[in-house]
Amino acid sequence: MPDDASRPSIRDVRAELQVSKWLSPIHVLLTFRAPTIAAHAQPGQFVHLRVSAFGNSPLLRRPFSIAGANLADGTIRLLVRTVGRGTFMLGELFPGGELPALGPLGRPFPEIEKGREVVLVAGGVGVAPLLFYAATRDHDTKVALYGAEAELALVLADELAEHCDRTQLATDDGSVGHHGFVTDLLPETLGGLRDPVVLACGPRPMMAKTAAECRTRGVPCYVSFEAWLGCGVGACLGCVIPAAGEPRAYVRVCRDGPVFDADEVGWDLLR
Amino acid sequence: MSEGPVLLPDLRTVLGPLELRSPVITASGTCGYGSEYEGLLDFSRLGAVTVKGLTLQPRLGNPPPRICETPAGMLNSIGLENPGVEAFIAEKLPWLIDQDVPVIANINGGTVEEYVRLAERLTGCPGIAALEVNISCPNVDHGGLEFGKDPRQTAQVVGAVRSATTLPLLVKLSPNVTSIVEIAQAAVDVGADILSLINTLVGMSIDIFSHRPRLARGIGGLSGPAIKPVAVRMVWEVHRALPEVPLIGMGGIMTGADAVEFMLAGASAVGVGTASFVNPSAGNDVLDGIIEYARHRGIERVAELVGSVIL
Repeated sequence: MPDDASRPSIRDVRAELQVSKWLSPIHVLLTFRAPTIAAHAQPGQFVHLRVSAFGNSPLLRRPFSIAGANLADGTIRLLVRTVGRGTFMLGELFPGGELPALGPLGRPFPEIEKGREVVLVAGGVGVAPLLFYAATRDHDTKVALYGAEAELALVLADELAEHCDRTQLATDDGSVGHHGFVTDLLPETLGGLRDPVVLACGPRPMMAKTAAECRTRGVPCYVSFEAWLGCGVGACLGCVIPAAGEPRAYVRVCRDGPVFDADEVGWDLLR
Repeated sequence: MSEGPVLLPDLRTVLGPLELRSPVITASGTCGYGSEYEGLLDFSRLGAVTVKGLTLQPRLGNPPPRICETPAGMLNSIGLENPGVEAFIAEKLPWLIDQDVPVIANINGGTVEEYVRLAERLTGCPGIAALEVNISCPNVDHGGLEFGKDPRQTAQVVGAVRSATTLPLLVKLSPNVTSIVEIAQAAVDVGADILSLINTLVGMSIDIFSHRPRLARGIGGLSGPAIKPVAVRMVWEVHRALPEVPLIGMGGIMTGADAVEFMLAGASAVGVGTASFVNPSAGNDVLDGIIEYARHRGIERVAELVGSVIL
């Protein structure tokens, strides 16, 4: 598997929080000034962030997909869903505060020919890398399918829609859009396209279902994984997922991914 | 101690037959094969790099999840995933040789025979400065900690490796024993030159919502600042019992201050492990911290610190 090409540009920098904006009671969008990361970031890559510059608890860094990069002011955006101590601490960080940020890390989404239709399948905060993709990559047709528990959790949906030709929403509770899973929308969407490529990021069952649907139709599919990471650079082997095929092997989410061709993933062994 | 300020303390570290330019070593399993940290860590300032544990054949490792965070620490159950010794020599070692840093090969077997064959293969291999016999891995079903829990089995495997190599021989000790001094003595009696301590403490964490362990294998090895006091105590105990034996102290070292604490307890060198996950330049930053401490205190040779705790 080829290594990520942008590796020499990886830096461990002090990123200064510029804006902290709550998008829902549990989602916060953080804008950090980190010029070297902003300059090299590609959609699908992530930063490995210490949630506190001091102390040993939480100990490990937390990985966040880059939701956007602004070359003009050297900023990156990270979408955080507050689920535990580390993310709560991030939500409470005041602008002006600095945190160590390592990045940009990992293998980004591939280059896709402009003429092909791109379908972005987002589940929850999995919208982050797809928003970055939609905002920076030019295609003749971009379709977004975005699902979450409820309307309140469909954060940044308007922004995603601005960058796409068509956007369909889905919610578990039916509060907006399709009442059900975002993957329910895939067959009809793919059926109406000529030569699509699917990019997906969200919960593992969502990505598994997306990959299966694409496989059936012979549509290329790329998925971006989340995992508990240790080092973030490929050394600790803590974040692996099963690879497809024989002999059995594991691949590192942080270094071989987080974006994988869906055919590289051992979906049947994934837990 | 000198009168005026010390510009740069003497960092040379003598571990029996192994002489290093600095006392800071990366601990096995936490620095991969080095190249993962390319551009983030200056290897030429390290005393040595201890590579991820090697086995004769490639090893798949344990199913994920393999790591989880715990208070001021982490659990891991990697299960010695590695490409095998031949692929290590062919594909990983050349990069490390280019970094101008001594390489310590950490070896793991399911049987004494496997340890011996690994030692034979790596002895005389250009770029390998020493062998570290890992008899303390808690994450495999065969070998590993089985050897490190019992002084007779420790003597058997270390003695066999001693006969198979002329390289400086390190033995990595487990804290998961009743008396670490007893195991240390057994290893030294059959020819261990240097002792590395400690490996991880066996631990467990359970997700109360799913009722499942947070690691797929159930149990794993606890590392990080949470284990530092245990590690310092064990270094002190072994140093007190075996004052002539050079020790590499490790367990939760995040800063130069932590490293100095281990040296005062009796470690001649220190291993930086989990800290590298949190801070990729930890190996350099810990050394800078030791230097700063020595300058501040007017210490000319960092070796003066070793075992100088006042009781």
